[in-house]
Amino acid sequence: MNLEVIAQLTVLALIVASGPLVIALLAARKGNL
Amino acid sequence: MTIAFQLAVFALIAISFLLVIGVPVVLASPEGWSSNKNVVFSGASLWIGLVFLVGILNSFIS
Repeated sequence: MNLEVIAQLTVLALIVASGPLVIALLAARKGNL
Repeated sequence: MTIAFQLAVFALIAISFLLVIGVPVVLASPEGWSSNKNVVFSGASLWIGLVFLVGILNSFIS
């Protein structure tokens, strides 16, 4: 396995997960969803 | 000089990621803006500074 591909997939996963993470954080803080 | 450029780019990516998550959370949290306004302004200022720093350092690497 190429290390560069693993790094790219890791960063992609972080970016994709950031959207639902915002929703989860706002729900936990009882924000204005 | 290359290591400084790489560190600046890494810092820019890291703070961009933090701002992408943090700004909407702060804006939509109850009393979030009034209590975290300074953090958002500091982060935005740091981001703008890093953009120019990366642009300047880019001129000094081969």
